[in-house]
Amino acid sequence: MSKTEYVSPEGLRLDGRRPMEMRQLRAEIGTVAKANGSAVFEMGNTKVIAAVYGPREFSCWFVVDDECNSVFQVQNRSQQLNDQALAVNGDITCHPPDHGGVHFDSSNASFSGTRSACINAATLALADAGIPMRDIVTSCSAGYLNSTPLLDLNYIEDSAGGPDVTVGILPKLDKVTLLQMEAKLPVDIFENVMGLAVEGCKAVANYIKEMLWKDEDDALLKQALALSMNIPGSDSSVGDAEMSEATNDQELAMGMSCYLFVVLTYLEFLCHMDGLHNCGSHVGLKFYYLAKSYQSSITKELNMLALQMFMLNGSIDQSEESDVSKVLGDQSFMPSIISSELTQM
Amino acid sequence: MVGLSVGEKHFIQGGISQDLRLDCRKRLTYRPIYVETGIIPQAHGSARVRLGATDVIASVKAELGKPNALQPDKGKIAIFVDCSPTAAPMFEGRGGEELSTELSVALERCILGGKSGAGAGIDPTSLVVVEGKVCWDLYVDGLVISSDGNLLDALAAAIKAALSNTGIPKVDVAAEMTGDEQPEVNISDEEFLQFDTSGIPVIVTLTKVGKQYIVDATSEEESQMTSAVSVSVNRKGHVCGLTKRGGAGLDLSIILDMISVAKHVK
Repeated sequence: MSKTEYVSPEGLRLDGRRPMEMRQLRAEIGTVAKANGSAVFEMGNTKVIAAVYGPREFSCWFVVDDECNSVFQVQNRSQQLNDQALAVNGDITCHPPDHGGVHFDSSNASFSGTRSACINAATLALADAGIPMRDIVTSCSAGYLNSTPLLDLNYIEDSAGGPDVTVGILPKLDKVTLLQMEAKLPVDIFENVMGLAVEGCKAVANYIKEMLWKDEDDALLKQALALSMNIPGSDSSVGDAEMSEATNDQELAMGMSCYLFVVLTYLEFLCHMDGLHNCGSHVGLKFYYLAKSYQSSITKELNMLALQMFMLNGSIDQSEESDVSKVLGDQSFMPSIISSELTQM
Repeated sequence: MVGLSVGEKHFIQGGISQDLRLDCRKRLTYRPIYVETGIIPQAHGSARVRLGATDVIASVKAELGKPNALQPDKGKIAIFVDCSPTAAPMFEGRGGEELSTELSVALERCILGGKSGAGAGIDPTSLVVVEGKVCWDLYVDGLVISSDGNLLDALAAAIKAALSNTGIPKVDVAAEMTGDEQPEVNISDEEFLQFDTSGIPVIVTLTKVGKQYIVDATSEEESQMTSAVSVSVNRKGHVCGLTKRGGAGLDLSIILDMISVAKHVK
């Protein structure tokens, strides 16, 4: 069999793309009506459906460390790597008995492109389910054929037997969670190829962010995403009083704090309050920063006051008040949370 | 499986006996059906059917193979259904296998006819390339993405749509060969043969809840059923297959009645 030209002399690949060009991306959330969260992610002709179910009783393994990390059981037909990629990201704080199950269906070939599409689909499905995450995980692959680094290999290019680097990153934290390579590659070329793959991941991340932001109905989702993805206007690294001003939308801040409330009630952070500032940019942390910013003292009563004050601050605005009171009234968790926190302390 | 409270169960049963279901349908009304074909470009044919919250995909792949020695002039068709865990968490691992096999067998019976191949919805003789030597093997795969009751109907519809969407490549056979040699075949990438799917039946499932039967049950209604009969009816109104599920026994007259209702609904 003659050597196939994967990159033509003009610089075009077999499907007409340039070496640095990704395939067309298409994503859709909420496809599986019965699931708590679901998404379809397409990269070219590869299509993956991911669905999240939970919380459920879990049977065995559960990893607990000081940040109360989650257990995330990932059922995948062919590739177990997604498990690890997600688990690193999955600082998904849940109450111990809960855990979510993520299931994949890839309705096309199984090769490294599937792995990337699976990870991207899983991220979207988790976001759709409303699970609090530190950051989204995006993934992309790159290879090296005919002396050219190629981004986003398709099936034919992947079967060519050349090197194939799959990378998964946390875009906001700028960390790599998944790195896998097949075949041989000299180290200096490897750097190029990996850099290319990371660029691809960032492009996917941008696409996912745009796609999720378009979903106007889910205001709470947007707020959670704003926090996790460092959207300008909700500066998360500082986490000060500026938080509520920086978010132009008071409702955003209110919604966020309500959301955080739900997350926080499950945490044992109250015992580790002094060590909070060391824990990094955890979502739950920001709230405490907020609370602290209104009160310099760390005593519990004052913190409760701070919480209350903060909640009240938001309800000054008439238009938002109804929403806030609806949220508060519906759940009526405010008094129960405060009392539970007091008792825990 | 959904957990229903006693009140909800009474509500469902009571409603059905008064011709009113949970989503305001009548007993013999189907949910809105959405069909999309050609969703999987790699397959020779594919379709996706959405029946309320039930979502299934069917794909058809064709490969060249050797025909059965007993039936040298017929091609082979295999139907296989897979209930994926995305449909329900209990389907993980081996959980969905029982349901998958049940669905596969029911579909094969309805669409493919008996052992001898007689009365099948698809004419297997149209699949043969060189008699006795080369024929097309069709692999029909069904995938359940989301399950909200009435999987059989949705799958049958998806298979029918996928088959109508299928293009079998034209095959040129090289010069005559003698004996047992395999003839050379040239598979054309360009030309396709369309399938004649007018003979493929549609399945109507009637679920008995209490004393009445309903068409197109959701999963809550299915959990209340005593038995169900799936009737496969083709365009001419002939009954092609019959499957009965569920533990309760049915009176013969009721079965005949159900069959006529199925024909009518179709």
